[in-house]
Amino acid sequence: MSAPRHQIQHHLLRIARRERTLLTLESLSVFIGVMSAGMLVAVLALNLGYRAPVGGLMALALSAVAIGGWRFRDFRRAGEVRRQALRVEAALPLLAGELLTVLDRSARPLGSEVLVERMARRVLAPVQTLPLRAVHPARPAVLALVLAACLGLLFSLTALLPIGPGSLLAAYQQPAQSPPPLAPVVGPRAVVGDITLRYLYPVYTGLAPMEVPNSNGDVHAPPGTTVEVRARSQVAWTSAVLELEGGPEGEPGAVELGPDRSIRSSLTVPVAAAGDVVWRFRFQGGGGSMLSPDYRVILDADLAPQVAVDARQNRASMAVNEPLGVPWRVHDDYGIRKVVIEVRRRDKTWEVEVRAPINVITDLDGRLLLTPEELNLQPGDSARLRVKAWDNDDVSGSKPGWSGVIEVTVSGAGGDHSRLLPARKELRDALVLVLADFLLDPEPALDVPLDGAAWSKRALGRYDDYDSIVGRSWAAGQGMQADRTALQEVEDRRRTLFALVRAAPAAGLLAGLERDALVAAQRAHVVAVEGAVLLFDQMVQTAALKRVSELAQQMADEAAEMNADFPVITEENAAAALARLDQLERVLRELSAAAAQLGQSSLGEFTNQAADRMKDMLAEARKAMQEGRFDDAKTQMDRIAEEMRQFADGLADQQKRGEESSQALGNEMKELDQKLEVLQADQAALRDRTEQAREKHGPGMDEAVAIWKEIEGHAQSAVAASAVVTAGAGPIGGAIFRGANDLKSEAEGLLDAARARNAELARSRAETTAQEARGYSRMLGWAAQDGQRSGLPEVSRTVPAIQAHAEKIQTLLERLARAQAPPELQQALQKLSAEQQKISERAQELSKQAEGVAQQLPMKAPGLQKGAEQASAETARAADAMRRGDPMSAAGGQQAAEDGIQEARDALQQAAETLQSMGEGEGAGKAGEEPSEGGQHSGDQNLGMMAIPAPEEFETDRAYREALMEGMQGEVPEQYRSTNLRYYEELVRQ
Amino acid sequence: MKNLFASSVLAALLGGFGPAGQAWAGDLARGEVCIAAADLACARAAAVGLGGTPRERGFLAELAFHEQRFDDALRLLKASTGPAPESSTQNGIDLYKATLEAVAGFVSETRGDVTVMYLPGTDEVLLDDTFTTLQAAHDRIGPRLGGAPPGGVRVEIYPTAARFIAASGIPAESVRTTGVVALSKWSRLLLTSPRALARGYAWKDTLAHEYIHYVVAYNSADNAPVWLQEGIARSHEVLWRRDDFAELPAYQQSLLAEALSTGTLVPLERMHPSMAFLPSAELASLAFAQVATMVEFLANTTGSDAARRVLLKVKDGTDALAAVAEVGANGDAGAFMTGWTNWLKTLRLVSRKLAAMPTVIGEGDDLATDPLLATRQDLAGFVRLGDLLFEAKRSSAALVEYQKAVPEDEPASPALAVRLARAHRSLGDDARAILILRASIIDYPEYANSHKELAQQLQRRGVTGEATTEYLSSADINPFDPDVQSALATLYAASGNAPEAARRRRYERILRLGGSPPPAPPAGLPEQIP
Repeated sequence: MSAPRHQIQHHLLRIARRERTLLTLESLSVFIGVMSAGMLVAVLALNLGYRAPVGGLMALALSAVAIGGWRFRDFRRAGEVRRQALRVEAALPLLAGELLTVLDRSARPLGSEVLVERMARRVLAPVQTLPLRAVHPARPAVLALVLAACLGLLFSLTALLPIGPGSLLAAYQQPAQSPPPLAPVVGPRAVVGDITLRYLYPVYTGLAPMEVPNSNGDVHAPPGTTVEVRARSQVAWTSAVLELEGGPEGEPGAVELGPDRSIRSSLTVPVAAAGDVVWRFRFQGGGGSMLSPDYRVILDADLAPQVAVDARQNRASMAVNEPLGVPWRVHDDYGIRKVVIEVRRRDKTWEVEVRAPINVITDLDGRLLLTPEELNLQPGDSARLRVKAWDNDDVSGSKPGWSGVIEVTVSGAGGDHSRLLPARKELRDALVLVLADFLLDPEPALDVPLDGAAWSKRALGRYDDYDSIVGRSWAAGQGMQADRTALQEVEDRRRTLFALVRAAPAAGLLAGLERDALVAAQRAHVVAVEGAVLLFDQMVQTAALKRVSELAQQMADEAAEMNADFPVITEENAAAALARLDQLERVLRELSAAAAQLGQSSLGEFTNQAADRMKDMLAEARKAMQEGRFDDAKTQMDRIAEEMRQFADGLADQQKRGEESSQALGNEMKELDQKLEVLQADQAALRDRTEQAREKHGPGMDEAVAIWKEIEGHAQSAVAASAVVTAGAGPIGGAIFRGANDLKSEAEGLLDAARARNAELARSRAETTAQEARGYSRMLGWAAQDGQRSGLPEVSRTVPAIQAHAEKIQTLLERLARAQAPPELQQALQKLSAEQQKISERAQELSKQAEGVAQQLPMKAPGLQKGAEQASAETARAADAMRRGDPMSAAGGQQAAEDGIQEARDALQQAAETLQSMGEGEGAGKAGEEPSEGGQHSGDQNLGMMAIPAPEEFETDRAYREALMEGMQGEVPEQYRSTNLRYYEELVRQ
Repeated sequence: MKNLFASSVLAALLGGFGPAGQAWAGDLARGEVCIAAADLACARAAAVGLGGTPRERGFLAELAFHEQRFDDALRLLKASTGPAPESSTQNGIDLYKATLEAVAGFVSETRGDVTVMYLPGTDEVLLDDTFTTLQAAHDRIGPRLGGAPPGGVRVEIYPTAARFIAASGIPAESVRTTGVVALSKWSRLLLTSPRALARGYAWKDTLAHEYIHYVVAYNSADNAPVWLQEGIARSHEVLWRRDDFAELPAYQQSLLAEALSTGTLVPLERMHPSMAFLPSAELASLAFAQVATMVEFLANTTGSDAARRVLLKVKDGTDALAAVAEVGANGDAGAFMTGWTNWLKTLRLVSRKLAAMPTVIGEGDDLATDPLLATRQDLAGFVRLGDLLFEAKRSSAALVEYQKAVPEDEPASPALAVRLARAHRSLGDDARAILILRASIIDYPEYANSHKELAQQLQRRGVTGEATTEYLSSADINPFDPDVQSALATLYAASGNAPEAARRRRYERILRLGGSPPPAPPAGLPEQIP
């Protein structure tokens, strides 16, 4: 570089250094000034008694840093020579860009070097003579420095204030100061005894008044409770007041003194207190005053409701019209005001009400049947949902509790089929292979000694591919309700089958009930797999047919357009026509690919044949065109257009017929649901009338009611005990485990019969439960003699309890038989029996209709038929009981019938939703009205994928039990309590 | 080729004589009578010189419509009325317009006195057989019924159900529910191409059937009630291809057998005025079986021209049942009916329960068109599972599922039988596969796939003669399967029947290319001029 240019460069660098120096000074001044101002305000606020938010101070500090940062950017750019050259050019307009030219040409030589050198010499002198301050004046930096100094000075003056800058941070770090504690009352105290406290709880708690005699005076109650105090003093006083210390300030309470030294007063438990709250009497008399001892007031705080959702995944992808299907539970100490779903999408939050109970109720549960659409969500939305419950605390104000968060991604109506289609196809194909093996080798050979472990190992391997797919594609809440239900069913049946096989004896033949149970389990397993295959297949086929039909329509339209565009083929337009033929062929290839999803079904064959034919026709047209036979080519193009139109129309026609058929099925389902709803309402009304009759004519029936309650209690105890037995017998396996399972089944059957108030069935169940318990006890005795079993003592101790419960129930049932209904009640029941009989006939008819509908459904909806059959049987039992004048059995039958109808309706509802989401049920709609949110939808079939590991994932039963135990251990957050509970249930099942 | 209606046409040309009586040029009333009696030659003669008045133009329009001149028909009918036509005329205009749209793109081909209109394309494979069938029907059936109407016969082959529905004037819903695929109306035979049905149908017998209606209407002056028309048509429809009456379809045999044993035959009175008023499709099917066997019994006991004699009496105004009784039992209707039922009892009727083959118009899954599986979703589910297993090459497991789809009280449905046979074949059990197919064909002879599957299995075993027969049976029901036509071409070529082989090869090419290939350039000339 030449000397002039070097000097210019050097001078520009000097200018840059000056700018950087000034910028540094300015930034520091701004930082100091802002910080000083902030701290000045904070110290002043503190001295005035305000606790300025720490956040405010922090914001100031951040502002200062930000300003500094912003200036730093300029600092960096100040080092650029070209920037300084621009400034110089601005200060010396006469340079007319020559300085910049010199710089640019020095960096990238171009043109005449001599000219550039001459130019450099020309600009050097003015540049060097230009004062630096003319380019970067110091005034702004100096002003900033002066301002910062002033603020700093002001801040230093605050050292003169009571709370100086030195204690500023310490003051913020200290927690809020509590008011100084009350000075303890010293001196002798008056003796008070015979204290009786009567609690009058706030209305919202729903608690009855409670009296506590011989109290030590301490009060335990929720805020707002009025406590009436009765006591007696050792000596007589002339007057007294009741003082409440630590609560809100107020007048002392009046005290009524009796001639017998009795004392009566009352106090109200305060809503909030800063520290300990005590109460005492202050007596007056004899020219002085004396205090009673201090008694504590302990607040039983009404906590916020506990809310849990039973979602096995906290993330789900679902269709806009698909019900959430998540079970929820809420518990509160005193009552729940309302339950809502809180929806948060981006920065907006809103709530949708789920339940608002009228009565005081402390526990609520149900299932979220709202759809994303009903939550005001749109396809494409992602939202965070929480169940939120408010308690009914009227005294200190209603408090909310929240469940864990479920993140939901919403897809279009019917689900994002295109996304799910490959996964469903993959799953279907994997399940087909599973099915093939189980059809040909369904269970261990029953006529040879069973080697369950070997068979089980072999059979488990059949699920490898399926498990891998489920783990890969379906574990994160994928799919819709129908997918999850089908997979859950397969899981359940598979688990039952393998559990039975593993529990079978290692040697010896299976016989009797064991054999029947195994055969039934394998059949149910195959049916579940078949159902899942058919469901996924139907979804795949429906989607594929829709796509093929769309493409066929597109192809037909394009072919018609092509024909219109080319009325005649000539040498000139042949190339363009060929391009159009290519375009058609591309659509045809796409169509063939879509048709491949239809497999070798006849529709698939038809489509493939048609596609092959059209391909040949296109090739023929192309050939004719290439050979110059343009008339033939035109003829062929006409044929292609006609063929494609007919093909498209044929498919469209078939789709239309499918839709019509679905429409008809949907209407039938809707009609059935309406009839079931009416039947349910009629049955409920008749049950009410039966109950009224019992209340009116049968006060003597209270005994029967009490006996049934007692029976139910014993049955529940028997079930609980049998769960303990099953859990204890699980690790031992074999006959011990199977015996425990049988005993548990019997006990559960007994409880069902008791709940249904079915005396006959309960008697029979109690007898078999007792027998089973006796037999099992004997078995345990033999096992103990073998000395090979460990852990049996606990089981051995529990089994007799089950037997005792069953025998007690038998005794109670005998008492119940003697508790005849009064004649008036019997007459009233017999009058009502005619109506019950009519309901029973309707239920029978609907049961047949339900069977017909179920047969047409791809998913069969087993609950529909089962529920309808239960309704039919139970309405008949109720009618019979009413004719016999047995009110309890009648009521039990009526209730069980209603439950059956509800089950059928739930299944119908779910089937309608599945049909709709599959796209084949556009007309199917929803069967009947929406069930109320939080209704008693007890099924657990739609809980998403298993969160609990399957037993077959473990080498041994013991390993599985250990895994379950591990899952149960320790405290779990509220939102995972339900999962923890299922670990327990699963453990009990093992 | 024998000229079908030469005598009548000649008579018409010479002096306008026709069976309905003499017709004079310009006689409108006579012309209208002739049209009603399906005597187009007579009507044509009467039409000469007409057209001056709206009514005459209406008559000419109707004549043109009967003669397949649809453009003329619409033009003339419009010319017969003012801007606000009466409702009947408007209905006519609508029908003519719809027909014109339905035959858009059609071409016409005449051989002798038979004119066939069709859409060029794959329906070309029907042409030869259409002419052959009608010729045979005229030669073999016409004389038994009193002779064909003069003026030729016109056939239209509609490629789609939609076009057929538009041209038939029947509501689409009725066509779908009743399964009507062909019609004899307006002196024309309207036929739906078998390709418009999911699995084809016995279209040649149907064509003969409609031709018989045409002849019966002419020979009875359209006085024959539906039951008699159907009785004659159903019993005679196969006589174009065989000498004796055919057995009833197995399904109808089973209905008849049950009705005979339980005494629940449908009385003739209940068939008046139309069988369509019978309460169920099953009862209607039974009624058709009854009248078909009644006519067959009549012919067997009194001679092959029994139907002609009955029609003559009906034409003269005799009640149809009385006419049958006069011909069959000297006027004693009771004796005739007793004789008929006794004769029925001598027949070996199929007594097992069978499902009716549904007529499904439009494309469809074979399960949806199966007589049993279409209504038994539970069984169809097992079939689908079997299909998936078969596709996965798990034939043994597929058989387990297929077996679940066999109902307890009746044989496997035809679609299922084909699948069972395929599964057995894939497991190497050809003999069992053939057994299953043969049994199914006896019960469901109109199922083309059973014939095709059996033919393939027989061909594989080298039983070429029977294989050819089965392929032909399949092609008779569904001529649009190029694989079947190809197999037939191969078999004919192997047996030395070159003309037939060439024909089948041509059909295959038509089917694969969507129409006739362009004619080859004359031999000796270069394909393209350089």
